[in-house]
Amino acid sequence: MSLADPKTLVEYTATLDCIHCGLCLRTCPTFQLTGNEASSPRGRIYLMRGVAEGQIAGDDPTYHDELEFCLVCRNCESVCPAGVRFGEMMEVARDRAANSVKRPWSEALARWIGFGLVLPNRALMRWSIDLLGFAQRSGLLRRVAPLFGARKDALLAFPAVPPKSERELLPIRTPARGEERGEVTVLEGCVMPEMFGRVNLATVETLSAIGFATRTCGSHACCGALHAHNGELDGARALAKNTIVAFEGLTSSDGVPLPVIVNSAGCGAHMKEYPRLLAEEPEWRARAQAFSKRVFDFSEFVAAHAPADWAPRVDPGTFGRVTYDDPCHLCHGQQIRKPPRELLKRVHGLQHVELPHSEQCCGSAGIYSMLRPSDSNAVFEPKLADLAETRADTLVTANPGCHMQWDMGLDRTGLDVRVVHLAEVLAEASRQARSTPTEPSKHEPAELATPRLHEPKAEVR
Amino acid sequence: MSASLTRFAPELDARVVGTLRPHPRYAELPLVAPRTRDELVACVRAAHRDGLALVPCGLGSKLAWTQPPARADFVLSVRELSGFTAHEPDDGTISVLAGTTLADLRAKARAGGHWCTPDVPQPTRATLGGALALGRSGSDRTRYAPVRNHVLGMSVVLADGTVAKSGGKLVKNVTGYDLHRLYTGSHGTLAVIVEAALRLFPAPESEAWFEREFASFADALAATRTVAELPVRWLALSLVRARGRWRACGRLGGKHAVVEHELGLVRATLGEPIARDANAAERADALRDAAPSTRPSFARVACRPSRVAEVVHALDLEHGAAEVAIEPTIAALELSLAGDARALAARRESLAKLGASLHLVAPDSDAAPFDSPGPELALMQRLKQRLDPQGVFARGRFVGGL
Amino acid sequence: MDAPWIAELRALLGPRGIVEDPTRLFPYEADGIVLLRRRPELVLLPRTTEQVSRALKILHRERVPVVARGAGTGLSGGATPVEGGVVVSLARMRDVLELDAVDRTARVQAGLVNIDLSLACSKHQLFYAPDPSSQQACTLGGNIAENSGGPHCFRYGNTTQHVLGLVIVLEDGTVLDLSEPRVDPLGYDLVGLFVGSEGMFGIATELVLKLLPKPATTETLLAIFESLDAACDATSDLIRARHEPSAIEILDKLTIQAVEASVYAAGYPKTAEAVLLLDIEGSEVEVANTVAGIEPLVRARGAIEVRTAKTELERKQLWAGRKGAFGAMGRIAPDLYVADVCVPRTKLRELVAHTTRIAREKNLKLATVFHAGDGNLHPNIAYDRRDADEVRRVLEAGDEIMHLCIEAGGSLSGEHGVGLEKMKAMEWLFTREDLATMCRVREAWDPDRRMNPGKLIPIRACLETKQAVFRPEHATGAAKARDER
Repeated sequence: MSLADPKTLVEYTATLDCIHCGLCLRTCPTFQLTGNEASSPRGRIYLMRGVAEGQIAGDDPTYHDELEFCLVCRNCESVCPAGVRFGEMMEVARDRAANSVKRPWSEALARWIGFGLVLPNRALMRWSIDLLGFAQRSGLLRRVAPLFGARKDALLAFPAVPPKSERELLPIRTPARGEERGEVTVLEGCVMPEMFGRVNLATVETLSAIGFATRTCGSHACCGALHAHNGELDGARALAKNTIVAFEGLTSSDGVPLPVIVNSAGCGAHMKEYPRLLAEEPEWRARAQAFSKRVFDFSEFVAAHAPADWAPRVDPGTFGRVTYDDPCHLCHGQQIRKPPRELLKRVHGLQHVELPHSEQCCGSAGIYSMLRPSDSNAVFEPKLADLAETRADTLVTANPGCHMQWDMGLDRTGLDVRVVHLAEVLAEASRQARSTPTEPSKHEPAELATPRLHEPKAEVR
Repeated sequence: MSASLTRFAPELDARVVGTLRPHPRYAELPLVAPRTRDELVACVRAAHRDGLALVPCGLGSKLAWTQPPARADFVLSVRELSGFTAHEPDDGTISVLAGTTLADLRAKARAGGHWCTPDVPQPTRATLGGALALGRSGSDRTRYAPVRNHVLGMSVVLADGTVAKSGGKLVKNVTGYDLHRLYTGSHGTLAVIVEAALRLFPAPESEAWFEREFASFADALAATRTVAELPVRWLALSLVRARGRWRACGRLGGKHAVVEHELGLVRATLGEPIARDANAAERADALRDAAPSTRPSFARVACRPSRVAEVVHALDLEHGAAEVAIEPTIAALELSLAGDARALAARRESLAKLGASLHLVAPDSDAAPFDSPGPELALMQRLKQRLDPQGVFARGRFVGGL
Repeated sequence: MDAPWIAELRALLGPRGIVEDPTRLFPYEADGIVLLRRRPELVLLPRTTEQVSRALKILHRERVPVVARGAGTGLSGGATPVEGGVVVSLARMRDVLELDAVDRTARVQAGLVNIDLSLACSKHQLFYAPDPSSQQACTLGGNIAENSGGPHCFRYGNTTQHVLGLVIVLEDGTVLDLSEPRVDPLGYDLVGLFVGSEGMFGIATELVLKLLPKPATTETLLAIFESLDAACDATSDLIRARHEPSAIEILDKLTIQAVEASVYAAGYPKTAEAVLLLDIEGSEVEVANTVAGIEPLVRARGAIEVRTAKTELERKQLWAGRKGAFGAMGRIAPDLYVADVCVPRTKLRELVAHTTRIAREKNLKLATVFHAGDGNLHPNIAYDRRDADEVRRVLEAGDEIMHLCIEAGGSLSGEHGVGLEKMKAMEWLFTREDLATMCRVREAWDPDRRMNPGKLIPIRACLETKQAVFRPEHATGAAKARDER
């Protein structure tokens, strides 16, 4: 057991904010899965308080398991009347837990390689993804996967590494199309350029289409979100400082710091919270605050700044019927719900339908799908039925983790739905609008018959 | 009154006011009518002490609704215990002694600007205690749902003479078990109801009465279904068969403007109202007082609303001679009987298949009045056993011989 | 080590259907009232009526006390575990079994969350009327156990008026199917008696509930007052004038401030001393008529402004704010004592003023938000359970409030139930005979008094019947394992 004062193992004062009303229960994916109070936000806070007040040992394995079982989707924060900042409490508790238990050496090594080396380093990340791609193509992966035990299936299901041509970094500067209305920077990210280079391109292309020149931030790769969510707060702080420094240099010609556009909801949510992460370091507080004010989610920025004459348009066949799945760290983490929908509605020719329970977590949760693959799948399962109910042809997301989770899940079940990032829709729609400067087509998109795996359950007699 | 009939303790003998059959097929028994709550307690206590069995009643007008008692020594009426112990018009509540007639109760409520449920037939011949013991709702349950929903609290005398209360006089209250829900509808087998508190509702400022004849049952049912779907708060809505004709009857009541608006919606289906305000109330009362349940022999059937047509068909009521009254939204039917109680009792099984229950009131027949309950009868027997182990409240009268 | 019957339960319910780990049992030690705590020996999470029945048979044989639990949002300690007892949680029984849009009934499992029923029937333009403030979390089974209310019960009546049938598992595992929805019961009204029995008569596993057509029009009014007294008087006036809105709620200043600081901020005026929140439902004409009747009355009592919600969104926000009020108090203090007394609606101002005075005298922070139309007061007292003296003062204040309500012709609970919290006060309201009668009825259902023992009826009232039957030698393996640690 840790010798530290148990009150330092969790954010004790924050646990007192919870008044035990239970409004969070129904929103929590792990409570929905188990019905177990200990696997609910209220229950986990109760456990944290138990640790702080000495009723539960700081190194209690069940307590640790409950911390890790949580997806930190933060759905509970969206409904909490007392304003409990559950995500933040979870980050602290996980961080302290990481210090109070000894992990198996293989896990410790994997965490050190992942968090310490690969994520923050673009070259190593590239090399790792190269290796993964090679293993996928050569069949090597099939052979080594069993060595990874429970994670074997998750590893095998990992989406195919895109061809080299799609893994280019962005140009250092991309000019605006037509008259330049402003300049912004984009976060290229760690995994994004490797797995979703096309999304980064689409992001820049859309910004360009609405009159913004974009700049990238050199070799900067990682904002530290995954570190923070997984109990590596020291690493997260170091990366936050790196990020602040790296972007401080990016200003307009007259010295005004440029907005930072983020197309990964998890990263954006985290970067907006740098002030809290660095709250105890006075010399960083002001810089973190200044920086976080510059951070905008892609949809947030485009919805606010697209000019009135921007008329994105698609041929109805391009995406078919489209539905949008709210990434948790966009809707719950940043309370951004309307902008993505407004943008989809703005695309002429797009048929948009709401996805039931779109604010429920898909189970990706950063690296959760790798850490706890079966729980992740169980959380994901009901999302598929919801998707089937919409009869959508395309699912739109705004976060790479969710993107991969949907790719993998759809692949597994054979449901024929395409997954794209919101930026891809907007870039394509901007492109089509340019190439067919004629009258917008009058006909509404046709109902596209797509084979369905699940019919909605009949419940009315 | 004949003193020779009595052979009881003095506290009972002193209150014997005549004789009454506890059921038409049971011998005449002394009728005991205490004048005060204390006298009532003394009477029950004496019965408990002396091993007597009694049948509680109000005015005794519906004793035929049960089975004959297995053994009874006297009939105990609360008719002398009448009046109001509290009336709070500004709170919408009233506390009433059990022997008060429903006519008096409704008049009192009306004077305070309120409507009081249940609106049962022949309210001058029905006491509140009797109606509650039978769990009897009125024609107004279309709007207000069963009467048991509006009993706020009760005082009862238990088998050993204990006075016990439950609930209170408040429109909202969950303190303690809802024992008044148990006593309501228990047919006097668990306790004698002494006093009850009821919730009151705003009296209608304006009323309208609709009546329209239809060529067939199907048409009449369709019409009532149509008007039941409208955004209209019916006070009463029924389908009536009398003299070989089907009629749909409806009563609207409420604020002037609302009733005006509602009758506009109803007009397309039921035509113009045939009476307004006081006349409407008169019509409604007349229909209510001619209900099949006012006949000496009748049956009550209940099912789910969607099965009303099937039940009517199964009982061959579309064209028969029976008088029928149906509350389509409540899915309750009443029909008059003419010596055919046994035949109807034989249809219990086919009714059960439709999820329908049957209650027969046929004093001249030995056809079982009640359906046979399922395994829950054991629990009911335990309730009876705990509250009245000695059988002071005569056994054999209610469901499953309770 | 392991009692054989625990192994039996494990085999019956599967690894996810039983909680044995002491750490996972820890959060089950309290429901919504954290002042009352006791760790259960085991928690069972069955999925079907059959599993509940078989589990109760085992527990009956082993004479283990049983506490049923829904979402654990209750505020009277109804789901607080008992010594040596097992908690049966209905949290995994949350299926909608049947929606009948023609007869307007729903058959659901007892663990379904209240709001999920209204969501499920919404596509048929139907809704389930009882709407406790915790409806986003609380289960329908829990609502039935406590006969819960909610703002709109003013018009539609408490839960009991909406329960058409039940499937009940008795303490010995017997399943009673009382679920055929008919207007009157056959025999005694067991369903009506069961509702509000606070888990002491058995466990309801399936519920048949009444659904209502959604009102054609709904208008939400917000009347803003410069004093709490005036808001209370306005409510009494509305009742006196026989107006029939669907809900009449009052929120005081402290409540408004807490709500406005939360995610449920709804635009309540933060400087108002009190607001009156009203929902008026029905046909367009009915609504217009009622609104026209209400407005002048409210203004006559000094409402400085009467606002109407302009959009559905605004309407929803006003109600979400009202319903999040309890949780929002977390901003004021770590714990909240929610009293739940009822008074005649002619005495609202008098009693509310008393609660304010008592809180002041005892140096406690009071926020008040309540179902004014039903006379159901909720003086909310903020406290910190770690401060023993404050806890004492809170409980004293609670007692004083209950005494005053009883004097005014009121009662102890309008919707939360008696549970553990108000048990001793039952003797203030009821006589020994009243309570003994409740005991007798309870013993007809549960002869050994093993279901939720030690709640609602003070032990003394039951002494003439039997002593409690649980014997410590039946303490479970889980308890022993914990003691050994």
